[in-house]
Order: sequence, then structure tokens, then C-alpha cells
Amino acid sequence: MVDKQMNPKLWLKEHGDYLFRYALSRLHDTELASDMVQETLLAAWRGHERFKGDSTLRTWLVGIMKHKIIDHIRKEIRHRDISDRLEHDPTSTYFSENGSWQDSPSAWRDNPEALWDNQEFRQVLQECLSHLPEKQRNVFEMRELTGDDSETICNAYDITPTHLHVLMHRARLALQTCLHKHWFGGHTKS
Amino acid sequence: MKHACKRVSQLTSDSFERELSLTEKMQLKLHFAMCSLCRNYHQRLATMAGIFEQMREHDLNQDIQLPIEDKQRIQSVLEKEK
Repeated sequence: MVDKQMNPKLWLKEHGDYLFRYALSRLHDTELASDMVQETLLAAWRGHERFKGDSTLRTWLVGIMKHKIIDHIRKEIRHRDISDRLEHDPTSTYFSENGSWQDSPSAWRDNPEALWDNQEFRQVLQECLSHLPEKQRNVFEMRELTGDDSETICNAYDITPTHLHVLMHRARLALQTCLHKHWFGGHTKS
Repeated sequence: MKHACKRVSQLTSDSFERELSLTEKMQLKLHFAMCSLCRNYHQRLATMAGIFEQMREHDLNQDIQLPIEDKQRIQSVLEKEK
């Protein structure tokens, strides 16, 4: 049973698309994502005797790919130094000197399902995400869009959980401001 | 007390990230009880969290496939390895 599974061509056929999407949603680069699939399958094939069959094959492959993605992000950060300096606190602009809200947040009325169904809204959301500073955006998307756990993200970006929480806070502040400006506050609903 | 909203906004975001301590939960509860702006902010973050939950459920990438040329390339690489 296990032997029959041990065929990398079959892995490619059955899990290649899935692995590709997994990498693509985290790396946003089709060529890179495709290389990740190749590297993952190669590494899996070379180490296939380590597959014990106590998880599904797909889970095992994804586990291998996850490490490769983390390695890649770590290398890239060292290479380009996309740091988001913590010393400069962008949240100050949202609050007055005494720490109260600069623009009083009002409540949003729409429910998330209805918003999601609205293609126009999704475009605004993408637009707002694209305006976040690079590191904030990468971390925020990995957390909220692909649903990775904090440990994975901290590992990849070499940050502490506290730093991650600060970045998430900043991203949320910026995003809700942008969404309010371009949707909830200004948009006339039909 | 004065810097409350700024500090509370970090805690509000944290409540979506981790389990808050009992003290932190009390702080939030007390502050929300008297500050409608921070309640609204919390409600906005909850709305955003709901939207991203929808996003994760309806994976927009679900139709994306590994390009056929890439499949062929990977296949020949794997064959060489055998």
C-alpha cells in the first residue's frame, strides 16, 4: 500500500497543483512557486524512506514545502533587508498627543459575507492591502489570507511574537483607515 | 487613563492574535464600557476578521494550476533522480 504511493511522478500528478497554489499564495511569484514544487518533490523523493505513513502524503509534502518557503523568505530578508523599523511608530498619526482617536471610528454596518460577495469591495480591499508597507503586508497576508500560525511567520521573518503583534496592529490600523476612506465612509451603496 | 485609546487599540488587535491575560481582558472590558470609539474600532476589526475568514474559505486560487511546461520539466528532473 505504502509502496504504491512511493512514486514521485504520481505525487506530481496528484499534489503538484495543490503544492503550487500553496507556494504561490505565500510567495506571489509563479516561477518561484514552480521551483518550490520541484525542490519539494525532489527532497521528498530523496528522503522518502522517512515518510512513515502516519500522516497523509499531502500533509507530509506540505510539511517539506513549508520549510523550504521559510528558508527562502529568511534568505531573501537577509539579502534585501526589508526591515520595518520599530523605532518609528506609524500609529502615532492615528492618535492625538494624549492618546485619544484622531478620527473617531464609527461602526461599520455591513456583514462580512455580504462584503465578500461584492466584487467591487474585494477590489478596494486588494488595493488597500497593496498600500501597506512591504513587511507589514507580507506578514499580515501570511497570517490572515493564508492562515499560517504565528510560529511559522516568526520563524520565516525572524521576529519575536511581540514584534509580530505590533506589525499586525499597524497593518490593521492602516487597513481599516483605508477601507473606511474608500468604502464604508465614502461609498454610496446602491 | 489619558493614553487609553492608543494602548487599547494594540490590545484590541492582540485579542485577535493571542489569548489575553485576565488583567488585559478586564482592561478591555472596562474601557469598552465607557468608550464607544474603541468599541467601534473593535467592531471594525471583527468585520475585517470575518472578511478574511471568507477569503480563506473561498480560495480564489483554487483554479490555478501548475503550468504544463513546468510539470514536464519537474517530471524529467524527477526521472533523472530515480
